[in-house]
Amino acid sequence: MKRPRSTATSPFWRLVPWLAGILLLAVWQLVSGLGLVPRFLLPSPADIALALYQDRLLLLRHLRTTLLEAGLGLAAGVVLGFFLAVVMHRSRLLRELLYPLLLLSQTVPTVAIAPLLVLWLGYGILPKVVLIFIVTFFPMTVSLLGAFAAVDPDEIRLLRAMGADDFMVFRAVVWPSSLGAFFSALRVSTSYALVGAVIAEWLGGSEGLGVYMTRVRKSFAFDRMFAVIVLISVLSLGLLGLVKLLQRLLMPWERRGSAAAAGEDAWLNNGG
Amino acid sequence: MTTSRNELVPALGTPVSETPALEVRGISVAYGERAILENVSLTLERGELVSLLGLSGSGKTTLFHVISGLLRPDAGSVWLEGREITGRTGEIAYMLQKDLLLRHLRVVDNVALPLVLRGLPRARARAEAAQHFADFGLEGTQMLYPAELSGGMAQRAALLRTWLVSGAAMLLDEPFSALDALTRRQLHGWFQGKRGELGLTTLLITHDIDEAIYLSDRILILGGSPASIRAEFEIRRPDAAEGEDFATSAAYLGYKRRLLQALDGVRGG
Repeated sequence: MKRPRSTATSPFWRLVPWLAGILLLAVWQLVSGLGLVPRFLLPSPADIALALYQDRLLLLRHLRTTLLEAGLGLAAGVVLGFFLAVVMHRSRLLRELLYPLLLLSQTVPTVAIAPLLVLWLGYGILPKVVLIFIVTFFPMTVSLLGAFAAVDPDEIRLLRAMGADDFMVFRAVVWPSSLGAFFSALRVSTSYALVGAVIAEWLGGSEGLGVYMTRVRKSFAFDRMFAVIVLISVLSLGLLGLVKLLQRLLMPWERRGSAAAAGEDAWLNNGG
Repeated sequence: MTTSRNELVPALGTPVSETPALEVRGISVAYGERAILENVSLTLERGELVSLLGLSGSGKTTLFHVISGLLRPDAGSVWLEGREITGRTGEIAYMLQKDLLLRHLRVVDNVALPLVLRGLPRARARAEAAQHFADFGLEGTQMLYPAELSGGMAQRAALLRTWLVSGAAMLLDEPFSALDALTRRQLHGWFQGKRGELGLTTLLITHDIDEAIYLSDRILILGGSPASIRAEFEIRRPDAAEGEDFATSAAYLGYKRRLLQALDGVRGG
């Protein structure tokens, strides 16, 4: 087996991951454009781009609703997931009591409870937010619980010996050590939130990308159908990028670079 | 001298010359049925370094947990400069085996952490900590993260953190054991210098006999089951002028032989 030499930096290797995608698009464009597959069944990439452009204002309006739902649900999921993890971490009784329930809650298929939520909570934004909350709090709670339990007991002992109380131990050691797990969970929850929002919208409502999707599907406007799929994918990537950026900002010690080494604070010059 | 602690660190009572810096009286600890420590007593005079030498699992760390307040003994008491501190944390500075610098904090914030925990505002704690960096050979490392330090530097930073709040005495649990032999030797020399300069009062756990002889004024041997203090050795070091030869002197080897015999005796018993 031959291994390519110096893969990391050469521009060729940086282009390779894009090649497959570009090739796929080209073939797709050809197949559709030449009429090998009827265009109403498989619109060409150009058709999709056009649909995306033509419907941009409408899409933007639906997008706003979906993002609002996803944002609210995710925020609720993250905040409550965090508190649930803290409470379960501190109390063994609650941990043993709630953990099976937590697992059980995840075996219920999302698609199956969504119609129920709509029945109970109406066609407004609430059932969507609740559904997103249900799918997003779990990854948060479970990975935080794991991370809290994995903190080096010696670090906790050190803080205790320094006279720290429970809150200080949590703030200075337990939480910072769990940030990595927190961001992994946030990435998972973020993608769940977007998908959850769309699924919830399929089942009823007046606005949102899921609603738009249902409408264009019913009118067999497949170019628009594809357009909204593309939009959701791009949105997903964008949100994940945002989470990654946030992690870089909040965990500067993970960046090994010497940028952090440059003493930029004024007190250093005064005091040193 | 730049390394005098100033009034920022809460004073720990007025020193009375006769009272020992640290006194441990009749400590007994049992975990359920199993007795770990029985009637352990020791005193530490000001400026003294006393080593606790013992086999693994002899209860050294348990004793440190008691002295630092992490663990309440079943019997006995701990006194710091004449005040009872049994079962109280935050009174005596304790450095654990690993350097245990928190990796998400810059070095200066790591060192300042115990000051912050004592209620000092962050900026002042930082300034107070930064003041001593040069003395501990840490100049220029304030804004680094622990991952960017060498092993010896990390250990010195942990020592500085311990010393900053050490008030009357500090507990060091194998502070040099994770280092390679050369760095350890270097740090021993450096630490001896610091000790004289700052008048450190230190109780040291080690299972390295050479380290104990090299650094200590007195060595206590902890052993048996349940553990108690089995033997005490006073180490007389030649004057500083000839001090460099101590590690290879006949006196040194004599101490080593007696210590080894004592440790063997403990194991047998």
